[in-house]
Amino acid sequence: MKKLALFLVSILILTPTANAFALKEKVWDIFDLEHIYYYDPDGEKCTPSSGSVVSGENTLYNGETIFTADDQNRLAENRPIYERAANNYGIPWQVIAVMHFRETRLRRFNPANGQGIYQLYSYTGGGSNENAFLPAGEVSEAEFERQTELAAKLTKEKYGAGLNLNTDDGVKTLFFRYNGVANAYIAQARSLGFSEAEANRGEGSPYVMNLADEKRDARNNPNWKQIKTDNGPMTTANLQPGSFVVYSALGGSSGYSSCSNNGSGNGNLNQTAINLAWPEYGHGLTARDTYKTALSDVGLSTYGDPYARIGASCDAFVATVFRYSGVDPNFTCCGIRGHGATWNYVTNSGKFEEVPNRAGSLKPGDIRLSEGHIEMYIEVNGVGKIASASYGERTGEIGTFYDNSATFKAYRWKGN
Amino acid sequence: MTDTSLFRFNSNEKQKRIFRYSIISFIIIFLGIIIFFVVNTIINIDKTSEIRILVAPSDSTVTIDGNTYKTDSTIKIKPGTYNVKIEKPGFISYHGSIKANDSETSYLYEYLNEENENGTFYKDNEKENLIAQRISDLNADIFHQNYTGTDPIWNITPYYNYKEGLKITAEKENDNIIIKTYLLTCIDEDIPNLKQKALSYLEENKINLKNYTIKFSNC
Repeated sequence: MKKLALFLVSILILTPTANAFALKEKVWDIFDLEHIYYYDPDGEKCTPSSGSVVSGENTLYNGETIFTADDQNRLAENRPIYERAANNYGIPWQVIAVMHFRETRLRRFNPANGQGIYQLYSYTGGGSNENAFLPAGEVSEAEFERQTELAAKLTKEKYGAGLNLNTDDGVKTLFFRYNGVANAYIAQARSLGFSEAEANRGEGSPYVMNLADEKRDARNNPNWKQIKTDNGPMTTANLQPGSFVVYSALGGSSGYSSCSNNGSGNGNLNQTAINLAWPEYGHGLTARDTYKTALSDVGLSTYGDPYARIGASCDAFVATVFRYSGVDPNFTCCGIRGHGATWNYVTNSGKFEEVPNRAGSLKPGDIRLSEGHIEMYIEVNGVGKIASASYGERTGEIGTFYDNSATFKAYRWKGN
Repeated sequence: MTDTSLFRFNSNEKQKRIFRYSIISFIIIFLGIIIFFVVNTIINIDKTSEIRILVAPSDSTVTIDGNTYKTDSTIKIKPGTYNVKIEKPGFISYHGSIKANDSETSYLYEYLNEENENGTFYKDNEKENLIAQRISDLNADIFHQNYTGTDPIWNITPYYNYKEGLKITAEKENDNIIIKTYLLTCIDEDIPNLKQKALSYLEENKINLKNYTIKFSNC
């Protein structure tokens, strides 16, 4: 009898519920099948984010030196003259220095073509006043000052007319105009995925952006071309740094660069997002250790909302990437839905510009924002991805790229 | 004088009787449970779909084909398409439909907006605002999943290789996926070589080219 009772109890305990008969469970882990094909956390190449080249450092994107010791001596010697002329016209002195570097390699020297130290073609009347800067050869300090003053005046009144030279975009446009806006360079920028506005700022011009990054380095991109003679063909670009690259090296850019491996203060949104997010979906609320550290460092681990504190919130993730990278330590968090604080910051602070939300136009570090969600576009080994978190559901994770342009707008960091 | 022997049980007999009653009770309960499960199974046997519900405000009334459900719940239901109503006084009602597929979970994630455009319900009520935020994020994830599905093309695009002179993107048009390959050259002689590089990239990544429409363009 006792054995029978035990048997019945066992059956009762082991009897499955009717629900199990009625339904095959399908759980909320729909992204488990995804994987990041190219992810290589140790091998990821650090690529500067948009809007920057080098920031006051004497190196190109790949670490190569820009200014020789001789260049630096000349810069130091000439700088007071650049500054005086630039101050007279309210423009950055670095603009004058760049023109000097590009045209006569910082020498106080008149070339034989009569266009002077800064090659002021327009001042010579398009060549009709070919004696404007002669004789050829070394010039006195007074003549150097005179020509520098003229260069500053033309920069302000002609090439820079209507431009805000306190912004990177304004300076890029200035250099593009100075070199002569060529349709071939606009087309070249568009073929590299730049927007029309960016193309018109000279992103496709080697004179402006040569050696700014891998794709604008003819050693890596044989299709990066340049017109080297008047009305000549497009041929493989030379290896002279673009004007804006040089300008940035002189500390003129408001951008950011120089990479490190841990993502902290590296000025690189792409690398920081890769470092903080899991390389695939399926981690629920469990943040990577790197993300936990970053949340603490940027002051969000003590933020009032419990999910933001652990990083399982879309706005907290993007804010952490911006703050921890050092790109924007003041990135506002949190609140997206209902035009919350983060939504308002991205759309109304003036620090972001709207860009087309489509593959080919997006750059690593761009934000995609709707009325209720925020996420970041990144690239992993040349493949576009989306890094994001979801409120109360999942921590920072990297997923596939998808088109959400019908309801999301894209924004790019412009700077303060 | 009372004959107490009539009321006195042999202790051994008493124990047997209690045990017998326990077994009978147990069998009755057990059979009852079995019958309940069997009946429940028969009733629910065709409810092979699931709907996950999350709605804000949390005291809204959610009705699916006339039946009322909680605003944060999961229900089992027969496969089919159902009419959904979400209502709360002072808020714009939601009227829609939801399709429940066999052995799958469908999602009813909605938050109601106030009738008064300047209303401050969500601003004043942090808990409700966070539920609405969660709903927004969940819907973004669902859109993402529905867009890409499990097609492998989304794992390898958009792809940029400026050294090779390639840019490859994928776009969804209705149920078709278009692969757009940009050959970064203005020189006609380079085109065949770059086309081959693009196709090699796709094939090396286990993309069955027959499943897609592939377009090429260049400078």
